[in-house]
Amino acid sequence: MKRWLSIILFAAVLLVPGFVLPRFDVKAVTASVAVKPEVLFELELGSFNFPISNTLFTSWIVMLMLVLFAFAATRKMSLVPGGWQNVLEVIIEAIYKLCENTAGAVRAKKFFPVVATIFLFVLVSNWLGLIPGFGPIGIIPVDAKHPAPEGIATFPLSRDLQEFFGPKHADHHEYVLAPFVRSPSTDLNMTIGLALIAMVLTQIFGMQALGVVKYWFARFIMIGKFVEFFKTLGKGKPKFGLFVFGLLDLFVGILEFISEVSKILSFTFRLFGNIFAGEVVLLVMAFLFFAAPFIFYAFELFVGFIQAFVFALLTLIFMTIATTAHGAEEHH
Amino acid sequence: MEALGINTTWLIAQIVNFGLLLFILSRLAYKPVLTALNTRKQKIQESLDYAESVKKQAAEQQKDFDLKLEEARRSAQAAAAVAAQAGEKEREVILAQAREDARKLIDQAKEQIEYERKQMLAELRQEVVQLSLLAAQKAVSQSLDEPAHRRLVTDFLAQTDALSKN
Repeated sequence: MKRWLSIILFAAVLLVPGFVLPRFDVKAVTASVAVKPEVLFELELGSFNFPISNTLFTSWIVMLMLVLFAFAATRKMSLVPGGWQNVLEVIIEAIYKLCENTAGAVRAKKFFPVVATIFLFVLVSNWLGLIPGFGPIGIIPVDAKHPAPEGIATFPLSRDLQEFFGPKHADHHEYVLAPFVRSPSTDLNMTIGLALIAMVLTQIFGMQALGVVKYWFARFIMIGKFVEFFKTLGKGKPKFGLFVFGLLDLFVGILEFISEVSKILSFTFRLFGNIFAGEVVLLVMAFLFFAAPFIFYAFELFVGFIQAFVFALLTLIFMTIATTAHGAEEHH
Repeated sequence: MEALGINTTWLIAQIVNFGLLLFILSRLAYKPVLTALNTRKQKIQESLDYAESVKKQAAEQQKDFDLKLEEARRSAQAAAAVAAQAGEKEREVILAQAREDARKLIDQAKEQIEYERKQMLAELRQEVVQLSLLAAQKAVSQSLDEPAHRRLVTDFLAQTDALSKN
């Protein structure tokens, strides 16, 4: 019985965007393919207006889901796990094992919370955006000059709600549909935020493990060979080979620094690009042929998982590298 | 930046979000679950160790038991052998006794027979003496006196006796 139910649910999930919506001639399901997240409403905090974007709103949903899940799973902990506890334990144990295998038992304790939180947050973010039916429901400002695009079913809001949702500034008036739910991974603010957290924590852990001075001088400011050169110069027997290698080391240190900064960018745009493009692909496919999203849904679920995994794994690896004492020559 | 929708407010909001989530999940999920996993690991290890020790103990007991069984079997065999030996001895004693008894009985019987034969011979001799006396009396009739006569017969009998003994 349960299996049948899940099959039907699955079919419905696949059918709604691919089959049902085009039949109803709802052309502008997600009229906007915008990089910029849409503003749902603004919170007034004194003199400061805090615009709440749909991605921020969805971030909170993701957090709420995770916290509720964690709460449900650990509410009644038992030695013999069952239900949610089992699920959570499997996830956490898998991530912890990964940390242990990569970073060793001691560092795993330190890295694990960050890595696990990144994985869970990104995973739920990615998958939440895939749930059909959320994307097309949102807010769209309509007036006499700008009627709703053809095919969009609109329901007028009460004056209070209009007050609440309406953008406060005229220049924000864009006449696009602002979906309530949009995956946070399609918002660059979130991906940059995560990338910053990952890389800053990486540097901090590295400095904690090796000492601030040693960390910087071993990785970025490599003047060891210069010092040696001047020592030999002081003795009157200068080794000019050391001088050349010193120059090389200096250059390598700069490269290392640039690569460290560029990791933030690659983190940011890898996640954003994959998930954003995935949702666009799904949207396009829905209008091409009703069966097409079937395949792409499976694929995007996979991509969502892989991106979450990659983000977490790379963070883990960078942290491991940063906390490993090494000569810079060994790592390129 | 604005075209990409990047702004400081949202960026900070997202970073705060992550920090908050990290904190809550650490408290609510990671710590209790990892603790539980560790406890379970320890419990399982303990159980395995215990099972191992019980197994070892059982094996030892089995060995002990086997040893004792073997010992008991051996002592039973020894006892049986001793009993068998004793029985054999007893049998021989009884047999010897029986043989002895039989021999004694036969000897007695032989003696008896011998005695009776002698008796009979003596009686027979007396009879023969009487008969001879009577016959000789009749034949000789008064030619010899009584003592001479008796001597004569006795000599004769002695001769026959010596003959029969040879």
